[in-house]
Amino acid sequence: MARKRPDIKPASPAAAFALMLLSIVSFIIALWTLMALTRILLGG
Amino acid sequence: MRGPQRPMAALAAALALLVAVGGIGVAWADDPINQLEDVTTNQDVPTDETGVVDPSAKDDGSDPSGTAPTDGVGPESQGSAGAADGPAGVAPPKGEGDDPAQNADGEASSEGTHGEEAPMPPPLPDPVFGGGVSENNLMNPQQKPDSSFIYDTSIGALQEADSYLNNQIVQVTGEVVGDRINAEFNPGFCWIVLQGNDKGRSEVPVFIAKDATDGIDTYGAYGRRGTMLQIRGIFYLSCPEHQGLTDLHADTVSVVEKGSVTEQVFDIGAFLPGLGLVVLGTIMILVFHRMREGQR
Amino acid sequence: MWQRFTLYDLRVVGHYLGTLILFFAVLMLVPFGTALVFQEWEPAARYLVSIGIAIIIGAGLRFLRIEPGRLSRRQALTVTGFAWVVLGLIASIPLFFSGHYATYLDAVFDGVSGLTTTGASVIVDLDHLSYADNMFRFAMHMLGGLGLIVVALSFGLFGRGGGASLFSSEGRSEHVVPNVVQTTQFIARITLIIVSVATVIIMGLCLLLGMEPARAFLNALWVSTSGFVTGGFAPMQLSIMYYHSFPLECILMVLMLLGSVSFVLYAEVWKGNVAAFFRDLETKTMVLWLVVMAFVFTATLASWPLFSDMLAILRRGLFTIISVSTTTGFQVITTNQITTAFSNGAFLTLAFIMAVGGSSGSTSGGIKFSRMGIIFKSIVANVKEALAPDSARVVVSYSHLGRRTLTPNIVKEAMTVFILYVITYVVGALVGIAHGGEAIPAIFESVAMTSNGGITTSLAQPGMPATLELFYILQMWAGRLEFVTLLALIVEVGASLVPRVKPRLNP
Repeated sequence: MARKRPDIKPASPAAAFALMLLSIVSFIIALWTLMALTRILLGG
Repeated sequence: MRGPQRPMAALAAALALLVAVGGIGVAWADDPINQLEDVTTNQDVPTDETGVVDPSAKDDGSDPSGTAPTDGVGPESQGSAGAADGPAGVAPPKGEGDDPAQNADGEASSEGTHGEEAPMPPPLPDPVFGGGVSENNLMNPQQKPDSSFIYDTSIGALQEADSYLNNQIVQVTGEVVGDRINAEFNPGFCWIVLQGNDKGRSEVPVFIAKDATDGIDTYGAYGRRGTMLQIRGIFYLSCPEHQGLTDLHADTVSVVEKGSVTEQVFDIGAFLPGLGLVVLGTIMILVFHRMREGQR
Repeated sequence: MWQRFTLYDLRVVGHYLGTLILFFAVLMLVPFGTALVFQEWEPAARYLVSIGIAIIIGAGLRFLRIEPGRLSRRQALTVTGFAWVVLGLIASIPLFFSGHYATYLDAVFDGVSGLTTTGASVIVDLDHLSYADNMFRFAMHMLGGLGLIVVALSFGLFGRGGGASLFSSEGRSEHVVPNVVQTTQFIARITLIIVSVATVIIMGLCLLLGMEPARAFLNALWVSTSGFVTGGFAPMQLSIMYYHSFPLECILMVLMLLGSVSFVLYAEVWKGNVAAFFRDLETKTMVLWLVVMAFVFTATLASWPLFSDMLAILRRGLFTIISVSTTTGFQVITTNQITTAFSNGAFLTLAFIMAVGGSSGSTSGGIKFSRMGIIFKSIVANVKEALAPDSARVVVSYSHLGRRTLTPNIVKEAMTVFILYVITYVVGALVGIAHGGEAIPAIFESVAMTSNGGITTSLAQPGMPATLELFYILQMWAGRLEFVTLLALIVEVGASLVPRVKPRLNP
C-alpha cells in the first residue's frame, strides 16, 4: 500500500503561483549551472 | 536634427538632391516589395569622378579601393583630417595603403575612358601636398595608409555571411528602422537596426555610440522612411562582446539621405466600400434571425 | 464501416463555420480600432472591408441551416478540423492587401501560422508594417492559442447543445472543471492575468531601453502574448534580438515555460494544490528532458569554434533551447547563425527538442511530454515484464491529473500519435528535399512546421514554391489538430466521396 504523501497546501492561489514561478526560475538557474559546467568540462 | 549649423546638414542636403536626381522614389508606403528600383548600395552613393577608378573599367568586387573614397562626406574629409567632428560623426575615409598611387593610375584610365562620355573632370588635387583640393573631392590626400582590408558589401550579404566575413571591417548602406535601443551594459552606446534594400529586406543590428546617432533624423516605421546611413565597422558573426550576437560595431557613420514621413490623408471615401459591406452583412444576419424566429 | 457525411451534416458544419467566421469578424475590430487610434487610414479602411467580407461570408454560411439544432460529435470534429484553414483564408484577405506579402499563398501561410501558433512568417519588411496589421497578427496568436473553440465557448456562442462535443475535439481531453463553459472562461482568465502582468513588466523594461511609450506598450503586449501562447511571431524582424535585453529574455523564458504547462495543472494550482504540479508526469518529463537536452546541446557547441563562448551559450543557448522546446519560436540568434555558426550536432539537437515539444493541454506543439512519458514508462514496464516471473503482474501507475494506470489503450494511443508525427516529420523533410533543399535544413523545417515550433531556416521563404508551401500549411494544420482529429476528418471526407454501391436486389 503506497504511503500517502502529504500535500503542500499554501494558503492562497497567489502563494501557489508564487511557488510555481519560483520553481521555474530555480530550474532555469539550475540549467545555466549545468550548461556552464558542461562547457567548462568539455570545452576545447 | 540638432545644430543646424553643422556642415553635415548642408552636405546631407546636397547629397539628397544628387540622390533624388538618381531616381530614389519618395512614395514607398504602399508597395515595399516592388520598390526594387530603390536599391541604394555603396555603388549608388554619388562620388566625384575625379581620381576614382571607373567601376566599369575594372572589376567592381575586386577593388574596394575604387569606392573607398566615396564615403559621402567629401568636403569634410580634407577639413577634418586634423579636426575631429564628433567621435564618429564624420571621419576621413580610411583608404588603402596604396591609395595615392592607385588614384594616380586610376585618374589616367578614367580620364581616358571618360573622354568620350563625359565632360573633362576637374583637375586633381596634388596627391602629395594636398594643394588645389576642390570642394567636391571626396578623397583625403593626407590620409595615412591603412593596411586593413575593407569589404564593401551589402546587408544582404551580411545576413548570409559565412565565417570569412567574421571580424572583418565592412561597409554597408541601409535604412535605419525601428527604435534606438540603449545598450544594457555600455552606457554611452546604443543599438540601431540597419535595413538593406534587397528583396528580403535583410537587417543587421549596429552597435554605435549614442553621439553618432544624432545624425539620424527619422527612424523607419510604417509611413516613415528612415535615414539612410552608410556605416563602416567591424562585423561579427558571433560577437564576443555581446554573447554571440551577429552584429556590426560602427566605426564610421555618414548620412546618405535624410528620412521622410509620408502623410496619410484621411479620405472618407476609402471607408465607404467597407461600410457598405458591413451594412450588407448585418442585414443578412438580421434576415437570418428573422427566419429562425419564424421556424420556432 | 466508415461513416459518411450526409448533406445535412455538411449544412450543419457550414453553419457553425459561419458562426466562427462571424466571431472572427468581431476579432478584426481589434486591428481596426488600432488603426483608428494611430491614424493609419489605409489599414483602417482595409480592415473595415475585411470585416464586411467576413460578415457576409459568415452570415451567408449560417443560412445553410436555419432551424436550431444540436451538434453531433462527428460534426464537431469536422468544424474544428476546418476552422483553422477556413479562418486562415479569411485572415489572408487583410494580410495580403497590406502589400507585405509576395504571393497570396504567402498571406494564407501567415494566417494559418498565426492561428496555429506556429510563428513562422513569410512576411516582407516587417519593420515597416502598420501597428494595425501587427496587432492583427498577435490577435490571431491569442485566438489560436486559446483555441478557437475555447474562445467561442467562452462567449457561449454555440449554445448548450454543441458545447461539449466541440471542446474535446480540440485535442484537449482533460476535464478541468465539469462545466465546459466555465473551463474555457478559466483558461481565458489565467491567460489574461499572466499576459497583463507580463505586459506591464516588459513595458517598463522597454521604456528603460529608450522606446517611446506607445511603442513600448505595443511591443510589450505583443511579445507577452506571443510568449505565453508559445506562438513565435515577433513585432520586429530581428525577433527578440531586437531588444538587446537580458532581463527581457529571462522574463520571456519564464513566460514560455508557463505557457507550456497544461491548463489543467493551472486549475490545480489555482486551488492551492501545487503538489499536483510537481508530481505530474509531464512536469517530471519536462525537467528530465530539458536537463538532458541542455547537456547535449552544450556538448555539441563546447568545442565548436564559431559559437563556444561561455556567456553566448548560457544566454542565447538556453533561451533557444526553451524557445524550441516549448515550440514558441522566438529567436535570439539569426537563422544564418543556426545554419552556419552552429555545428550540425547543435542544429539537429534543436530539431529534436522541437520535435518532442511541450506539455499537452497547453499551447505547445510537438509530440508532447505526456506521450513521451507514457511511451517511456511502457518500455520500462515491458522490460520489467520480461524479467519478472510468469506469474507476476506488472502494473505501472503514474500521476497525470490524478493517479492513473498505464493501460494498453493509453499506450496504443500515445504510440499511434507518436508514429504519425514521426512519419509527418520524415515526409515533410522529403518534400523539402524534393524542392531542392538540403537534408538537414529540410528536416528542421519539416519539424518546425508540424510541431508548430516556427523557427525556419532556409526553405520557408517569401515566394517559396507553392507545392512546398501548401505542404507546410498542411503540416501546421495537422500538428495543431494532433492528427487524430485530422485523420478522422480526412477519412470521413474520403468516405463520403466514394460512391455508394447499390445492393443488388434479388428478383
